[in-house]
Amino acid sequence: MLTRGERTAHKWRGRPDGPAKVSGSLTYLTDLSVPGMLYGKVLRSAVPHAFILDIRTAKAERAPGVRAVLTHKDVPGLNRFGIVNPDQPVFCEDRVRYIGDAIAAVAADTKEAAEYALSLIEVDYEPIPLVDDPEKALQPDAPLLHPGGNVLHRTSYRKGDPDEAFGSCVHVVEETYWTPRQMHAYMETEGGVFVPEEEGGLTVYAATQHGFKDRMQLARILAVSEESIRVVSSPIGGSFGGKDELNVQPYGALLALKTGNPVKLHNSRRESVRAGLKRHPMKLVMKTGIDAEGRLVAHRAEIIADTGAYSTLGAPVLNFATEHAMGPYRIPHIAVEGVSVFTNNGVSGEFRGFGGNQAIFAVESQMNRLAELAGMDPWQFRRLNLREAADPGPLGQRILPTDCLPAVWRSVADSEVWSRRRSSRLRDASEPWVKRGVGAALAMHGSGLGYGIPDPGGGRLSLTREGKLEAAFSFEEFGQGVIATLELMLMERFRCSADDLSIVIGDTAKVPHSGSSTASRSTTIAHMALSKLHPQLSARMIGLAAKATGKPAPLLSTGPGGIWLQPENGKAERLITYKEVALLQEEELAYETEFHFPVSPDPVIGGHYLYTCAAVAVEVEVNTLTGAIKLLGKHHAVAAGPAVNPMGYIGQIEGGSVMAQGFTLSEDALLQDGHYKTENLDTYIIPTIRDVTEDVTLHAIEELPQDDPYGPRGIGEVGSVALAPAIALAVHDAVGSWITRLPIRREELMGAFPGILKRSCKGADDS
Amino acid sequence: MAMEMTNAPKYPEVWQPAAAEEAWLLKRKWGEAACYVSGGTLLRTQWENGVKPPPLHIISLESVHELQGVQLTEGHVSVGAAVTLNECRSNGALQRYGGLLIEAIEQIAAPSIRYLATIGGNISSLVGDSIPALMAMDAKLLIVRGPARHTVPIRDWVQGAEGAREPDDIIGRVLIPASASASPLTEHDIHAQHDEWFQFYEKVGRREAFTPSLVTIAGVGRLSEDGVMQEIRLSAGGGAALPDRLPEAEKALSGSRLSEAMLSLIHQTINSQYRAAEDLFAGSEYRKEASANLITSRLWKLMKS
Ligand SMILES: Cc1cc2nc3c(=O)[nH]c(=O)nc-3n(C[C@H](O)[C@H](O)[C@H](O)COP(=O)(O)OP(=O)(O)OC[C@H]3O[C@@H](n4cnc5c(N)ncnc54)[C@H](O)[C@@H]3O)c2cc1C
Repeated sequence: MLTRGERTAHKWRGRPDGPAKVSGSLTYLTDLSVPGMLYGKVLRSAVPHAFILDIRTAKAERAPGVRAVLTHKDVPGLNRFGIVNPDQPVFCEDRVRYIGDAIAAVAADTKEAAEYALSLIEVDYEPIPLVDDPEKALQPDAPLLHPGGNVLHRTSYRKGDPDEAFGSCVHVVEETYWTPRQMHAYMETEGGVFVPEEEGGLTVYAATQHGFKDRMQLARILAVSEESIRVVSSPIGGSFGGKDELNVQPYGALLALKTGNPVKLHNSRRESVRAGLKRHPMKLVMKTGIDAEGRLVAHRAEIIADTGAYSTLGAPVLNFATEHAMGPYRIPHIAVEGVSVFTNNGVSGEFRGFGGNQAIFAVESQMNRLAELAGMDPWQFRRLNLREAADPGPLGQRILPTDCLPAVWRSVADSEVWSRRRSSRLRDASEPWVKRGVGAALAMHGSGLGYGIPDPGGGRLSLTREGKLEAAFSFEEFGQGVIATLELMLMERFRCSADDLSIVIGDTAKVPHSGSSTASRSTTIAHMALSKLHPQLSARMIGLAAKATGKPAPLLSTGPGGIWLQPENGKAERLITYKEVALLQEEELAYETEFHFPVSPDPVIGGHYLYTCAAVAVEVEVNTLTGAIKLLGKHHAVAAGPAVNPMGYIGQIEGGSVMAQGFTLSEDALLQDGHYKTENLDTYIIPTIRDVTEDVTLHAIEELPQDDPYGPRGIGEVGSVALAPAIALAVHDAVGSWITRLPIRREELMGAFPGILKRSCKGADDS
Repeated sequence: MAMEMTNAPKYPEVWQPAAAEEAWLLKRKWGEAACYVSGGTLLRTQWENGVKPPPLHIISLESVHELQGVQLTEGHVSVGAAVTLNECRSNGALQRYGGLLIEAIEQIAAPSIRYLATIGGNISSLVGDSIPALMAMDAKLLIVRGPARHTVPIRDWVQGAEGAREPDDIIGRVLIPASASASPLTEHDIHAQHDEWFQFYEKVGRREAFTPSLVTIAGVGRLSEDGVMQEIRLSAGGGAALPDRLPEAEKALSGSRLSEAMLSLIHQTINSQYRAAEDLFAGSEYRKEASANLITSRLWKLMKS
């Protein structure tokens, strides 16, 4: 069991960026100020769907302190952005599709002057009927948001003949599930500082999960070479997928180049809610059947995702949801159909779990209902139906065989939290309206971007002239603890001390391409890169040391501060420092590697090759007077290979789990007629520490298959994927209601006090 | 950088009168263009949310002498309207006689906000979580209206009874009866001390802490030795609805004994009487049912104890 502060089996290492973050002294990029800096502001659409008839900026241009007012006419390159399919206007020309669409931007001497100038820009709109529901958007008479229609993407997977197979099923469950528009709610809202450099260059200090991708997109917008742009993007005050796409960068870049001055932009929370990405709300219709023994026979799933106004990563998110809509079970007959639909409901995009959380909630809920119909314990029901290690992946593709499922299944079955399932539902006879219940769920979650999407990895390892062992990756630090993880990986390999290390991330001027910090991929990329680079650098340093000292290379090894000699029967001594080794020759010792994230040999678009497994058991308390739910205890089991950085590992699982708690119990960015009604964190309710139970155990199952070349798997998402269906089962266990809609509505769990009393007295008499 | 901001937005003018009447006169003078400010915590969100435009004149009540301090006078704890929620919480007299109020305050906002927010501002908001507690405690308000002072029951003031509340009124002080009914006994103490008074307060929000209220209820009453309910005061609030007493439920209870049949009746009465708020986060049906449930469950516990 991985517990806080454990120092024996694991290296418990505080994160280097921790103290500054906790004490509030850390300077984020949005805290930067540079001399002569102007303030930028963006005018967003006043209406969610309309043609723009006219934009008049003359008054704003004449306002005091205003240095530039930009519209679509001022974009030198492509007036569009979007990671996969650039279809979101930097500035709208003749049409707006959501309430966050940008129409103009202002740079002024002060923030107030910029805000005032925005109020002077006049825009004439001609409303277009609102498309605020994905099902309505698919109707033939719906207004079309894009030339290609309202369908962004469709998916389909079929195996066997489910239609016929349902006929042979003994029990069939058919149900519809809804999931909310969750907001990333990062602490630091989007923003940054944009600094023009000599010869038309530009330095961007703004958070992103993939600096090189931002550079590519910005170069395309500005019509300049990628090399003329430097992106500095860490540290980041949280992202969770929400800052992977461009946000304010185009405006900052355009304003800085136009005015020749540094420009700062920083979204208020309100602007962040209005313009920013959200998790895709999905409607999932599922039909699943079993035979007399309780074995799964047929499964059908239809997914409708509300992708909002523009593409961003809507298509890959739907692919991921499709791949996780049948669960890690053996089912001979399967049909999954997915559609991601454009609407005027904000923009949905990347979010921790990437479409898996929605699908896993639905499919695991199906398992719970089927177990009940079959008269089986829901956990035994799963064991009976789990896939085997060498089975093909969910989309029929070959995957790296993994035994992680039985391991996490067993962990929950043996957990203390799960053992509470059999005990009384009643907490206390003096409050018979408080009911307790236990539930659990599991998932097998893909890592990496999946087949068909470029997923390049790599890194650089060097000995600097200052004698530091330096690892450089294009990763970002957004709170996940990647710096500490890299340090631990290097300390283990070089057996050096932390002082010998230099970690370079988050700056396109200094790091090689290692791809995006997303999709639970960074740890695996780092492991693969270092497995290749460490022996090279180590051998070279030892060779140089041997030559310089005349000692035999086989007796030398890297260690704290430099190269050490270990005589056959004597005390080890340090022969030469890293700095001395570095100065033994002219050029820097540096090694680079590039490779692709491991993918399936089978060409199944979006299908993964590496999977991690996660299961969670949870105990809840439902107050039937109010329908309020409280989490009492949680047991997380995660099979993702070695816990390289135990503190980071626990942090990721606990954090992901609390985020999933919000998804299940309180979070939903409400829209009415295309306008957000939860514009700040006073109405958009995320869990606070008082909602978090201290009774958490985490079982990290660290074994990997023998000779596994891929090493530790990422755990950034798996803590969040299975909690919702586990809570739903626990609530059912407590009060008997089946949950179909998240966040769970209290109305569905409450009773009238006189009735509650009668039932609980009756219950007491029965027992 | 030097520049002229001729057209740019103006910052409001801030007035800091030391006398209540002076504050009142300023408000009279500027009318709609002025606004009293105590902690400013609620106003700040209203300005930012566009619920109210920022005024041209801010009349700070911070330095008004009459609104300061907590005194134990004969029969009352008198709390100045400018006393912050944090100060209320740690005040000895209130700890002795203001148990329900302190319980309410502990669930208002978060420590940083309670550090600035005042009791006067909470009541003036008309939806503050302290109001149901103060109604159940039978608190009165000392109102400043020019040179005149008068006291009104908090219910009349909140509900806007005839002549009770005028736009320029300043809440001067909150008067809490320093009687047995307001002493901080919990249900558990009742048996131990052979005291017949009981009281309860409960707030339900969308999470455990730092949350707007969906439903807030409070109750104070006396249970005679032979189990008859007397002097009972019940109240409910939550959301945008004005908190109110629940007179019909009070009437049904007073003089009668608690029984399950009685509780059913009370439940029904509250459900049909209480005018609950309705918003995107909870319907009025939910709020009525939850209020009725919370109050009757508290009475049931009393009956069982
Ligand atoms: C994040 C956040 C969370 C909150 N959570 C809660 C909560 O859980 N429960 C709750 O009840 N409230 C909550 N509030 C609302 C508010 O903070 C409290 O109601 C607070 O007590 C208001 O006091 P104040 O002194 O800041 O009032 P101010 O903002 O100064 O004033 C509020 C109103 O009262 C008027 N006013 C102030 N003092 C007087 C007076 N003496 N006489 C006449 N009029 C006066 C003002 O003109 C204004 O209209 C929250 C606010 C925020 C920002």
